[in-house]
Amino acid sequence: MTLIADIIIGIGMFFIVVSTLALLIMPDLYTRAHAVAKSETLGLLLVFLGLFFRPELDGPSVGRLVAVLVFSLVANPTAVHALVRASSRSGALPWTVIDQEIADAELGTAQERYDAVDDPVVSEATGGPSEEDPR
Amino acid sequence: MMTGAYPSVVVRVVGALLSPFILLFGLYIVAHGHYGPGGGFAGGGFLAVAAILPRVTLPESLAYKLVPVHFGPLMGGVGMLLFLLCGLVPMFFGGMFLDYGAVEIAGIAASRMRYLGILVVEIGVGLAVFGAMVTIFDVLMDRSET
Amino acid sequence: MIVPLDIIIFLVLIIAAVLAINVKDLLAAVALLAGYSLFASLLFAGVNAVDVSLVEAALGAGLTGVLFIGAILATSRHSTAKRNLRRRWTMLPLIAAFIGLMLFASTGLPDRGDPEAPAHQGVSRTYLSQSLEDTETPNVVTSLLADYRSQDTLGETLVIVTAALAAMLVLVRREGDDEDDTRGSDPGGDTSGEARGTTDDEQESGRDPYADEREGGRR
Repeated sequence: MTLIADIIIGIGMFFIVVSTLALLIMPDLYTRAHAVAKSETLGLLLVFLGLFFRPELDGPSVGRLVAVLVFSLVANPTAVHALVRASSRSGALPWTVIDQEIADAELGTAQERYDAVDDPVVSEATGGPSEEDPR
Repeated sequence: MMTGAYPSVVVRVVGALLSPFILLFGLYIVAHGHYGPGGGFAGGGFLAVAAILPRVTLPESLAYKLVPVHFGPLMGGVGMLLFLLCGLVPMFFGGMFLDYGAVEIAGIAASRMRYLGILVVEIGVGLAVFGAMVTIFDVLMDRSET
Repeated sequence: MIVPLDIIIFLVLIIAAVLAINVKDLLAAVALLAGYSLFASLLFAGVNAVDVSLVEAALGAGLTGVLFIGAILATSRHSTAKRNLRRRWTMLPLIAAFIGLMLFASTGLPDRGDPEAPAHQGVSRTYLSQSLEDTETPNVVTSLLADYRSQDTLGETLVIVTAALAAMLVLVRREGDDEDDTRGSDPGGDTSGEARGTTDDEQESGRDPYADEREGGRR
């Protein structure tokens, strides 16, 4: 039983780690929110599912676990939904993949643009995909 | 502004769904301080969250009908008064201020009396914290005309 | 208590505190403070101080965040504090000296959880051993707060209620002000507007993205 619990908790931890990684490497708010809302909720669910198989579990703990599980299942995606909705309404554009050849023709290749700016570190930090957005 | 109906139906439904359970949890925390973590301060905080969540998500007419604006100062005063009275009652029995064990009621031991006194004090603290937090929120949201 | 975890949490706390002071966007500062409270509650839970942990998680991470956001909506989102580098460098030795003094003083403190520590002599021993007998309350923290030291709790509760009353006195609008205007559109001629004072141009010019959304939702 403990082995099953550990395996399920391990899978849940994997999903949480993946969603945290996605939070770090994804390009904009929408993709990050996607990762957090889905992957982390699933990870949390699996961790709690694993806790149900632990031998230390007794009656009151089951009730508490179910309560916490239901609460986080409801509250986590809702919070992310409100966040994404507010950012969408306040005009944050989603990250888009652009056609590299058209972009190079219009804006110059990446190397040319790199040479054109004075401080490459600053432009890299503030620029990014949204600057190349044709809109 | 922060109050009023949230324009997303998901948030409205979840807000309406969760706030009664948060209220229940707050009452549990207030009453369960003898045996577990919690007590008046944390429980009052949860009660205040249960009152503030409808204000942030639900339509104003409904949210302010559930917990009216004058509830905040009222509950703060009632909680504080409950605490003070709980302290004053033992003085009539010859005890010290807030010495609940001095209250003599037939059939209830002194230790049981202190247990009940703690319960009343926790309820008073919970109500006071609830009232204070709701009052501060209402005042910040410019909603305190009473 | 797990020592490496404690060290990590302490580092996160320090980083969050420094960032919360330095960041210009006050909304981000509120989020950082909520995170700070959450990690502090983890720290308290790590040393089995569950009561403090619960209060920290409920009030620190949850409720004060809401109140701070309300205050930001009522005033301004951007900090106008200017970074004064010269003063920062002159303050540095003072802060370093203070931290050094604190670290030096902490060498004289007893270990954490040491049963022979002075704080655990005297009355606290009596409280711990007599709590169940005196008050039928297994949770010593509750019996301590609400029975043995209930006058302290009375004072604390009074402080909170007084804070709410003071907030009402400072911020409440007088009778006769127009009822249902949004706060930003008020030119600030009345007394309450003066008391608030810092309603900045950004909200008055309606750049607040939330406002029109709300109106749309109410229709």
